[in-house]
Amino acid sequence: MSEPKVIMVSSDEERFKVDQVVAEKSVTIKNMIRDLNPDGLTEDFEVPVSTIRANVLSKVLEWCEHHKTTVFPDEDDEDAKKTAPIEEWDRTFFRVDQEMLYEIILAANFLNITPLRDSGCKIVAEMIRGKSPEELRKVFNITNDFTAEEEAAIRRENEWAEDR
Amino acid sequence: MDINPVSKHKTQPLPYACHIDNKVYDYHPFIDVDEDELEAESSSSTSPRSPKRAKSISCFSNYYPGVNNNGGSKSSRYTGNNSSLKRRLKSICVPSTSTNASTIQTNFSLQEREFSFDSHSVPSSTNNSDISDLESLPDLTEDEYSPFSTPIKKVPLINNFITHEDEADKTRTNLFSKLLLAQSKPSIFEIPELVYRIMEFVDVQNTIIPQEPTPMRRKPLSYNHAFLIHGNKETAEMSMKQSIIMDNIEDEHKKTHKGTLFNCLLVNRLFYQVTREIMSKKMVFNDAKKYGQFIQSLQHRNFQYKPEIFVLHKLFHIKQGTFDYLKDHINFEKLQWLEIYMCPKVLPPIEFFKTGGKNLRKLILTGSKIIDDDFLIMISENCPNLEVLDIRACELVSDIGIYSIGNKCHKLTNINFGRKQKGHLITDTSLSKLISNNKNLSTVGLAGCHISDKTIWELAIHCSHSLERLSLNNCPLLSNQSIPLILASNRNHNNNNNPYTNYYTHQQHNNGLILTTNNNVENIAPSPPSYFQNLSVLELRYNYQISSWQPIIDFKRRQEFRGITLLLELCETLLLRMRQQELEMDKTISQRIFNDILEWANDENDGDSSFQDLLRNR
Repeated sequence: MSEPKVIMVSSDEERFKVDQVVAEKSVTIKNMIRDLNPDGLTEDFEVPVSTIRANVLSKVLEWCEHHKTTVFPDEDDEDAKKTAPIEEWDRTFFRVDQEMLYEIILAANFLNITPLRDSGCKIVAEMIRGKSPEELRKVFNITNDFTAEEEAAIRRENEWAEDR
Repeated sequence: MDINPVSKHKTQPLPYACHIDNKVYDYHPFIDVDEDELEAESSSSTSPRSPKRAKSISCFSNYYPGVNNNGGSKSSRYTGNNSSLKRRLKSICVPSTSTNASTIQTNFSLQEREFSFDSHSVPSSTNNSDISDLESLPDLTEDEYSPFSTPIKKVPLINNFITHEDEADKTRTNLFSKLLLAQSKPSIFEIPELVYRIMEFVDVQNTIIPQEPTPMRRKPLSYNHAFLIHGNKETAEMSMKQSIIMDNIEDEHKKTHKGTLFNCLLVNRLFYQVTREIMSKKMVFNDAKKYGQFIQSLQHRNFQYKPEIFVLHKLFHIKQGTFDYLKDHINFEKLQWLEIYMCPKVLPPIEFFKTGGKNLRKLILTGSKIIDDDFLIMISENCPNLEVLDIRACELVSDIGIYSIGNKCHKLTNINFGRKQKGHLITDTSLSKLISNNKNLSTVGLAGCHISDKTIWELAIHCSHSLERLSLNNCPLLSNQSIPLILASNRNHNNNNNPYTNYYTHQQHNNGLILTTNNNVENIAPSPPSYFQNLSVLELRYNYQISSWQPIIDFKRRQEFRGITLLLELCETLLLRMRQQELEMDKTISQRIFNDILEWANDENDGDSSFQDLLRNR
């Protein structure tokens, strides 16, 4: 008997059969499995993840597969997590277009895969670096909801932080 | 394998997801597709897609921008009989799978069947399954025939199709992508927790807290000294200028972009809120003008800062009065790191510590002319969790204050009480209390303090494993009875596997007895204490009473054997003294080795024929 697998079903109903360790990189799924099978898995376990498209899910699972044995810094050690540089493999992994990057982050957020979400966020943080507010809005498709006066006020009040 | 979306999804009418197509053109309209890859892909791409997909507008709009090669929308240009359409669809859907996009294309193409298209459509050719055909399609950057575009839009788009103006396309694309924004599903920049996380990383990547650079070595005291340390003219000169170390730090500063967080403030409301909160965690000032602006901005603002880090770096002239504003507008409950570095005239108000003392881990008050024993007593009562205490060059502080700290704070790891003047105020009395209560000290700076050998022995007994950096420059009372003796006492029972040590031990106790006993002890009982195993920096400048360097050299070599490079900081006289002893030591050792070899080679009872015999027999 081979070990029971976890089958993840994407929004477009593609089925991904993966090892339990791989799927349990997602805390959401891990908890789900624990809650529904307190005595451990005996048969294949099917999880619908209807918010994630197949190609995003396959990317996410590719990441989980690669990192299935990686030991990440302690959950509580915020500083270590923040300062850790992006792993070279992750950097290559995230060489996708912006929309895919966002979707991976969203999926990681939904599935609660903190290290993946953090890696993605770090990539975005690097994209933010050295850009003017206008550039940021343009690149990330963000609408400016300030009035001109508000913007001026913020500039004035935070003059001391210009260099931050 | 055949994709036949028409029959499968016919009953699932798509919602009108309006201008979805437009967003596509933000991205490269074409990608190079490898034919072989396509073949492989096409066979795996035929599984039926969920009609669910189509139900959600948000999925659609979200989906689309990811597609590089928008085969689906192109397909809508084609009309003709059903079979040719199908073939067409097949050829079009194939490349799209290579970008993981087959789903939508399928759905789209199914849609188009329910609409009739006008004469603008490209005439259907009979053989469309060829990939090269696809690649030779006109680069349509607007999909005028999509069922989702309104008739109003059509007119200019068709013109565009004919004239092929890339410029115009781009502007329109931007326009549409803005329109789209309102309707797409939440982007990651609309989810506060994700924006927060991202901004945290932006902060970590870009915020520099001004720090005194930690030099690899201290600056040499004279050219001769530099020459002694480095051994050649060039590096000696370089190190005198101390440019090596400074250069690296400059480079790092250039890499970070100033103003990144500030720019994020101005993006939109959510960014503003998140960024402000993150900025408020670290309040760092190394510019008096900025500090002044900050104090002023406090007056008309309802936002309360809750810093975790508050650093004033080299603001030599700021006045105590500014702290009154801080008291009222800043909440110090979460303060973990308070640094008032080289701001001689200000004293943080007691309120800081009354509210937030419990969280305070790091207190750096280097170079204050105001801090005294009373202040330290207050600190010791309010900040039991202090780990780092740096009161270098705070010359009013004496044993009384430090005793109080040692009495109440039990988590210290880094202390620095170094000073140039009034060293007699700090003695063994306070430090032995502090050391016996804090057994995890890793960095200890006692330069210029009038401590005696007793303190060093206390350190050896209590903090032997944790100690990494020890600065004892200019401690006039230290003698051979501490550092050399402690390190020498290591030698006899440390690291028996080290042939060098074994040899050395052997040599020291000429009878060889110690060596054998040691080996036995090692196997039975846990190894006896060896002091300062993790020491990597030892500073002993101007301690002229130390004359026995052999144990220190020996220790340095043993540390190297264990992979720790011990940095010894000495002044010129002491360095010369040490070099001399080192030379003598090496001489003795090589002589001993030579003697041993001679003895072995010429031993008559070692079973081989002697050299003389060998010669005779030839």
